[in-house]
Amino acid sequence: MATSTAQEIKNCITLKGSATIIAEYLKYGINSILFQRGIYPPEEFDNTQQYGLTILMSKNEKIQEFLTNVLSQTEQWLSKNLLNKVSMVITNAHTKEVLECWDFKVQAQSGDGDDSSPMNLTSSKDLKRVQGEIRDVMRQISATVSYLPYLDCICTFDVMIHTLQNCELPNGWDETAGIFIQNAQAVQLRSFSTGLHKVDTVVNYKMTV
Amino acid sequence: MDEIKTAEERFLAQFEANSSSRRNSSKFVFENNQETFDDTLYNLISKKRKLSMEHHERRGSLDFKNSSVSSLNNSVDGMTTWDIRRLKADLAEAQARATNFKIEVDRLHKLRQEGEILYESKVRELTKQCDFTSNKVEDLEKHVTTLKKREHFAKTELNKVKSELSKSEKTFEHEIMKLELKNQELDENCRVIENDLTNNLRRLEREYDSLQMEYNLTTTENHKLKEQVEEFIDKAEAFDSLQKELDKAEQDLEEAKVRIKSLEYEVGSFGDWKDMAKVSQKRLAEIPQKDKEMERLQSFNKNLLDTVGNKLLLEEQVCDLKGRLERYDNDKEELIRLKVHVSGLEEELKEWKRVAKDHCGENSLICPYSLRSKIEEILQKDILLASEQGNIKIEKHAYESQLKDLQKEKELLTKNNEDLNKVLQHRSSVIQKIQKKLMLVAKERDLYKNLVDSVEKDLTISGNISEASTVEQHLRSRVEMLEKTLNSYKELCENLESELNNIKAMPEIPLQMTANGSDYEYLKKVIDDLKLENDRLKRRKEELELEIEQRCLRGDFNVAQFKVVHLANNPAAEAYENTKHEISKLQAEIERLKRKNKKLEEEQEEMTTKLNCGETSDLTKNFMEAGQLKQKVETLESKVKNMKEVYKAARFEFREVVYMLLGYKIDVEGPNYRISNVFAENETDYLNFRLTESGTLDMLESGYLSDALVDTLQQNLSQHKSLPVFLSQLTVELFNKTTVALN
Repeated sequence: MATSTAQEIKNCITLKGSATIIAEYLKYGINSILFQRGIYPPEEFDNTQQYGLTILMSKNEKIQEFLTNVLSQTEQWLSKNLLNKVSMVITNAHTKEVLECWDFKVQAQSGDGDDSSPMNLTSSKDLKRVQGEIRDVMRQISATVSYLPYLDCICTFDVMIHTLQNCELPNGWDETAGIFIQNAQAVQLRSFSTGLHKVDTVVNYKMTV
Repeated sequence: MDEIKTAEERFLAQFEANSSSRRNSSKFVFENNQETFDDTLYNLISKKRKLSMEHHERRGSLDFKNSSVSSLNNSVDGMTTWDIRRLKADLAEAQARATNFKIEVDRLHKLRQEGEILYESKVRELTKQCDFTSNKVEDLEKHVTTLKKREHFAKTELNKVKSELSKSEKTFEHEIMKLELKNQELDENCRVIENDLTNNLRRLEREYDSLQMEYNLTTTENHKLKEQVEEFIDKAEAFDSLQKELDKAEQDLEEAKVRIKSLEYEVGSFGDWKDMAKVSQKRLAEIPQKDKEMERLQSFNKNLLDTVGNKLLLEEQVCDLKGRLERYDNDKEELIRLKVHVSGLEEELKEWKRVAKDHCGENSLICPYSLRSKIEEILQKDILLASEQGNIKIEKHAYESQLKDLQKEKELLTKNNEDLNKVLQHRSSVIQKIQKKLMLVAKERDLYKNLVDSVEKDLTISGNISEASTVEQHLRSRVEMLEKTLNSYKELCENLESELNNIKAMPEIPLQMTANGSDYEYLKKVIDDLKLENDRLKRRKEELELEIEQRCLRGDFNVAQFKVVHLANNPAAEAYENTKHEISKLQAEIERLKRKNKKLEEEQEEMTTKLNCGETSDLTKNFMEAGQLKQKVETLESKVKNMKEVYKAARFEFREVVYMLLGYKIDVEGPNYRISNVFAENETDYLNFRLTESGTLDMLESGYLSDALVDTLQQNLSQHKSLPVFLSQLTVELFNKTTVALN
C-alpha cells in the first residue's frame, strides 16, 4: 500500500505544477523566439540544455528581469485559471508597427484525478511525455525561421496577457489595447497538454507582398 | 541273483583296476571281462529260458492235464470216484504249484527289469566317463604335441646359441691374441721410453748443475747492481729538489714581471688621469658661464615659442573672425530676406485672422486654438459623415444584394408565368380534344341506342311472328339493320383511328402537369424559395466560419470576457523611448553635419579657386624635380653597391693578411668572435670570445679549450691575464706539435 500511494504522489501533476511547467515553457519559448527571430544580437545569448534540446537564453539582465516578473505573475494566474492566452508581440521599434504575434493559448482541462473541487485537480500524465510534447513545439518554433519573413528593422517585443475581466492587476501592470496585424497570416504549431492545461502555439505574421 | 551280483561287483572292481592301470598299459583287458560278462548274461538268459521252458512244460502239462481232465470228464462215467478225487487233488495241487510258479516268475521279471535299469544307468555313466576320458586323452595328446613343438623350438634355439657362443668365443680369442700382441709392443715401447727418460734425466741433471753455477754468479752481480741503483736514486732525489727550487724561482720571476707590468700600466694611467683632471677642472670653471648663457638662451627660446603661439592664435582668431564676418554677412542677407518674408507672413496671418473671424462665431475670441477647435469639430463632423457614408455604403450594399435577390425572384416568377401560360395553352387544346371525344362518344351512344332499338324490334318481331313466311322478311329487315349498324361502326372506327393518329402526332405533355396542377406549382415555388435561402445561408455560414477561424488565429478575443494586460515596464516601451531619444539625437547630428558639410563645401570652393590661380605651373616643376631626385637616388644606390664590393674585397684581403701574419682566422658569429689557429689539427678546434658591454673580452668555454690546451698554457693565461700572450703561446705550442708530427 505504502509504495502505491508513493507512486501516486510521484506521478500526478497539480494545477500549480502545471502552471509552473507552462511558465517554464513560455520562458524557453520566448527566449528561443528572441534568438531565432534575431530581435537581439546573437552574442547576447547563452547555450542551455532543456527538453533535450540546446536552447539559447538571453544574457541581458533587463530581459531576464522582465521575463521573470511577467512569468511569475503568469504562473499565479495560470494556477487560478484566470488566463486565456499569452501573446508575445514583436513590433518595429521605430514605427511601433506590429510585425509578429506569437499566441500561446491556454485552455483549462479537467485532468483525470479527483475533480471534487476545481482547485485540487490533478493529472497523471507523465512529466516525460509532457516535456516530449514541449520539445516538439520548441523544434517547430526553431523551424519557423524558414518561412517567417525576415525582420529587417530594429525590433522589440512585449508580452501581453489576456486575462479574465475580473482579474485584479498588481502594481506595475497596465491594461492595454489588443493588437492587430495588417494583412496577417496565421500558422498553428503543435499543441501540448499537461492534463490540466492545453497550450496551443500560433504565430501570426505580417505578409510581405 | 547272487551270481549276477557277484559278477557285477567283479566287473566294477575290474573296471576300476583297469582305469587305474590305464596309464601304465595302453591295452585294455576288456575282452576277458567281456567274456565273463557274456557268460553271466548267457547263464542268466539260459536260466530264464529254463524257467520259461519249465513254465511251458508245466503249461503244457497243465494243458495236458486240462485235456486229461476233459478227457477225464469225458471218461468220468467210466472211472471211479477215487480216481476222480485223486485227480481233483492232483489238479488242485497242480494249480497251487502253477500260482506259485507264476508269482516266482513275476518276481524274477521284476528283478530282471530292475537289474536291466541299473545296468543301463551304469552303462550310461560308463560311456559318459569313457567320453570324458577320451576328451581328456585328446587334450593331453594336444598338450603333448605342443610340448613337443616347444621342445623342438628350444632345441633349435639352443643350437643357435651354441653356434653363436662358439663364434663369439672364436672372435674373443682372436681379440685376445691381438691385445696380447699389442701389449707386447707396448712393453717394448715402454722399455725404449724408459731408456730415453733415463738418458734425458742424466742430461738434465747435468744442465741443472751448470745453471746453478750461473745463478750463483748472477746473484752476486745483482747485489752489486742494487747498490749502484740506490746510489742513483739518491742522486735523482737531489736533482728533483733542485728542479723544484728552480721552478719556484722562475714562477716568482714571472709574477714579479707581471706585477712590474701592471704597475707600469698604472703609472701610465695615472698620467692620463692627471691630464683628464686638469681638463675637467677647466671645464668646471667654464660651467657657471655656460649656465648663464643657457638660461639666457632658454628665456629667448621661450619668448620665441610664445610669439609663435601668439601668432598662431592670432591667425586662428583672424580666420575665425573672417568666418564670422562671412556668417554675419550671410545673416544680414537672411535677415533682409526674413524681414520680407515676415511682412508676407504678417499679411498672410491677417488673411488667416480674417478667415478665422469669418468662420468662428462673432462672440468667440479669434485665436488659433478656437480655429483649431473649429477645425477639429469640422474634422469630427467629417469623420462622422465618413462613418455615415460608410454605413450608407454598407446599407447600399445590402440594398444591392436585396435588389439582386429580388431580381432573381422576379426572374423566377417570369419563368413560372411562362410555364403557366404553356400549361394553359395545353389545357385549351386538351379541352378541344375532350369536346371532340365527347362528340364521338355521343355518336357512339346514338349508335348503341339504334342497336338497342333494333334488337328490341327484333325481339318484338320474333315474339309476334312465329311463322316461316314472315321469317325471311324479318331476316331481310334484320340484315339491313345490321348492315346499318355495321356501317356506323365502321364510321366510328375510322373516327377513332383518325383521333389516334392525331394524338400520336401531338407533342407529349407531362402527366403530372395535368395531374395536380396548382398545388404542385405552389409547392415547387416554395421548394425553390427554400433552396435558394438554404444556399444563401450556407454561403453565409461558411463565410462566417472562415472569418471566425481567421479571427481566432489572428488573436482576436472576446472583449467582453477578457482584457489585455501587460507589464508597464516592458522592453517595447523602453525601446520606443530609446528610439525617440535616438531620433532626436540623430536629427540634431544631421543638422550639425549639414552645417559642417556646407562649410566644407565652401572651403573647398575657395581652395579650388586658389588652386586654379597658381598651382598649374608648380605641378610640372614637381614632376621634373621628382625625376631628378629619382635619378639621383639611382646613382647613389649604384655608388653604394660599388662601395660595398670594394669594402668586401678589402675586408677579405685584410683577413687573409691577418691570418697569414698572426696565424689566426677571426670569424664573427653574432656577438661571438671565433678564432681558429693555422696549426689547429681540426676545423672544429677553435676558441670563442665575446665582447662584453664594458669593452672587455670574455673567453667562452669550448671542447677544444678543455681537451686540447695544455694546463700550463691556461695557467699562464691566468697569471698574465693577457690574451695576445696566450694566443701566441698557443700558436707556438701547436706549431711545435705539428712540426714534431712532421719530423
